[in-house]
Amino acid sequence: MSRLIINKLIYNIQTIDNQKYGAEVPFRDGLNIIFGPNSVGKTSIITGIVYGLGAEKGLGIFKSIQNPFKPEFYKEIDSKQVKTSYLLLEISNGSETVTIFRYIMGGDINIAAVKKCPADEFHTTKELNKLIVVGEGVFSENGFQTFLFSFIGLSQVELPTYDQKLSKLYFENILPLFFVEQRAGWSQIQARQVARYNIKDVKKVAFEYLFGLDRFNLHVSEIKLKELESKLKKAKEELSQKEDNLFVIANGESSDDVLLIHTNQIGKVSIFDYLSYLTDKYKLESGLIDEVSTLNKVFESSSDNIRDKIKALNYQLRKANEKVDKITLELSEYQSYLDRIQLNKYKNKQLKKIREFSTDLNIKICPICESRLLAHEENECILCHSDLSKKISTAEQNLEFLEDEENTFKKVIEKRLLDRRRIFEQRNSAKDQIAELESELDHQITTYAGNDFAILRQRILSADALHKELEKFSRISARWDDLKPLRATIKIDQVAYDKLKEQVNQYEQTESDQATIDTIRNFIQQNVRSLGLFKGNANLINSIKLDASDNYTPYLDNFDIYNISSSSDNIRIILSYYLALLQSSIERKDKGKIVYPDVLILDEPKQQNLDNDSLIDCINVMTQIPKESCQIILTTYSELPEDREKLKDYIIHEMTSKTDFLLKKLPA
Amino acid sequence: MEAFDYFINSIAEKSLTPAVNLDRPIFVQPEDRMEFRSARIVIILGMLTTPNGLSKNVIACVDFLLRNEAFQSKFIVEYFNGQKNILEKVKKFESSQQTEIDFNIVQYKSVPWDIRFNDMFLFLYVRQLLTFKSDKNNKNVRLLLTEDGKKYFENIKDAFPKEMNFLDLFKSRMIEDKLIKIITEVIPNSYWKQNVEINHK
Repeated sequence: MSRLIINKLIYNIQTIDNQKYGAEVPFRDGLNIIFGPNSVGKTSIITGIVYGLGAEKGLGIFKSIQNPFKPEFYKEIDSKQVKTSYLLLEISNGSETVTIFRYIMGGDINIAAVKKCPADEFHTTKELNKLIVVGEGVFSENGFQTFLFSFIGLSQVELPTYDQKLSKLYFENILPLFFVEQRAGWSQIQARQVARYNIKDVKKVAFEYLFGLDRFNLHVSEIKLKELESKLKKAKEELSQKEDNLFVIANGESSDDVLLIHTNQIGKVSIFDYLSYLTDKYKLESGLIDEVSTLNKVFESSSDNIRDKIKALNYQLRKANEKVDKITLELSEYQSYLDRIQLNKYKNKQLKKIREFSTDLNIKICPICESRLLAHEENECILCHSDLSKKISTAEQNLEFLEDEENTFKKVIEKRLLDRRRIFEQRNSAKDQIAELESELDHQITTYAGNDFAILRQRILSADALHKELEKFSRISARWDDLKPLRATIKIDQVAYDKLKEQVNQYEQTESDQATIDTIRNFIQQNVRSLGLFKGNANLINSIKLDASDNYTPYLDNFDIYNISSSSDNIRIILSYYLALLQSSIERKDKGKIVYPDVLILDEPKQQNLDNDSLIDCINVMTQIPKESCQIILTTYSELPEDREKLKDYIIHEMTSKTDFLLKKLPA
Repeated sequence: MEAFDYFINSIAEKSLTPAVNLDRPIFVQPEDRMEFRSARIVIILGMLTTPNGLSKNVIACVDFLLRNEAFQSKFIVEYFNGQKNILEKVKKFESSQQTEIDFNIVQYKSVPWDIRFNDMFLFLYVRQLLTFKSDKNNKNVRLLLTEDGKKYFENIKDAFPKEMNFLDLFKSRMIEDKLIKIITEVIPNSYWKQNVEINHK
């Protein structure tokens, strides 16, 4: 049994001149009406309750420098500066009563003090429990919300957030289901829900939590499912993107996670087959190239051989030419000797002729000593008696000699000519051989090296291309294989997702959940009827639906339920809804796991265009709720005395006039 | 050597005197023979007969030309430069032999003088084939054939047909200055200087 009963609210404000102001509002079971005109302090009572419960965030206050109260509570009252200001809130859970102390001003507003005693005995009770009420640590051991949850009988739960973390479900998250704030609260259901904890589907979750729906337990699963789904979607997108890239590169498609490629050579094949095909082809090609390269080596060695031969022959040729030149020079010298011999022969013949006319020297006396010359012997000089016969060759001897010389030279010339001819022969044969070898080499180069190597080059190029393609597809294959883990996770996630989804689908419509929701819907329809919404149009009323689709708020399939006929419909729907929550909680408390605290705080529904009749209708509904099992705190006002007359049994605090403020000067 | 020793010893043992005639004439070719050269001078003097005879320089120059046939055509071109039938004249003396310069000749500086010329003149003079004239100071010696010389010339001229042909071109009117200039300047300039340059390169 979870209940929250507000017993009493006490304000205590002290100004700097030690003047005290205060207010004391007691509450009881059932309907509590706070009655009074505008701007006298009705809402301050509600604010006090919420502040006392440490849930000022439910009022839209998120910063500690902001104060939810009116200035007289913390700044100035009767033109006097406020020194300290605090409140005491006595609450009960049906079996235990505690009083919460919290500073509004003049003390640490982040700390609340809790004593297990009624409010009146607060200052006399010694046992004090200081609890963190604002900031981090509200759920710690000394946290106020830890205390509050366990006091009300709520279990602490952690819920997934939008940023993939976990967050506690805070009191200010469940507050919007039993507290309607004056300004924004009437615009929609759970209008003051706190979204800043990033809890996913917080409105839904809060509802399911309070009404103990099985779905809540499953909610985590569902959220997980969603996460899984998005993860799955992302992974699938990634996979398909990567696969698409590979498809584009490889001109392929996928079949049972195997990459199929459209190839020019062998059509549509799996990448493995294509790779093995390419590998085989490459092996074959490189084998051929090796073979041709071996031939190339043979060719090169043979061409080297030929080149060596040509070199040797060229050397021979050069030598032969040198020899020929030498012999030619020699021959020309011999020729000039011959010429000389011819000339000398000619001159000797002339000499021979001259001698025929030899002139006698008619000398009888020596020209030097003038003595008579003696008779001389034959072949003797008449003057010096030298032997003439042997010393100087005669023309005949000369001719003989020259003849001999000429013959010798002619023979030599002949021999040398022969030599030269032989060398010519050698030279010509060397020349022929060189020409032959060169033409052989040329032939080899132009035919063998030319065509065959052109083919070889093409082969090598095509083998290179093949190798490149092989590498390309190996890379693609590797990249395809790299996607395996992704595919595996997708598969695993898919299985998990399917399983979870089945689970979720199975539990979605538990009988108990359906019964609870049906109960709430029935109460809504009943309340709507009571409040005169849709002018009693039974069809419309019966077609009001309530399910998880819109955070468990009522809706019509074909119309905007909040704005179907008049602007006050909105208020009436919201009122019907909140009342139905309370009613359902009370009705199904035994059957379900409902932890709704059976308290409803409604701050001035009338401000929002609710007419007096509807208010009265509403109060009628409220009064029909068994008063011992719940507490409704309602602030309202009506200037009509007859209306007040109708409400007067439920008024717990009344401000009678526009100057009858909540805070009263207390005796010193 | 052993075989030769054996040969000598075996001759000596038999008391025989070795009579191997190791003499052989000193082969002297006509160009170095006084007789031949003198005869050619006679031809020169006989062909280029002038009343006053020829100077020694002219004889030396002409002899040079006759000695070296290769220069004859060049000389003719230079000597008859500007005359009509020069080509015909040259054609006759196109040497069938090598035209390259005979390196054996002395590369003279002034005239191709041969010291043996004086001996040749003496050779002819003592045989009374040659006589000379000179001026009062015993200078400007000019040589001319004697009557015996002229007879001798008539005898031997058949042995020198080429020389006769060449000398016949000048018809006994050789212009001495021109001759000497060609021999001492033109031919050395166009042959030997060229060769010197080539050798130095």
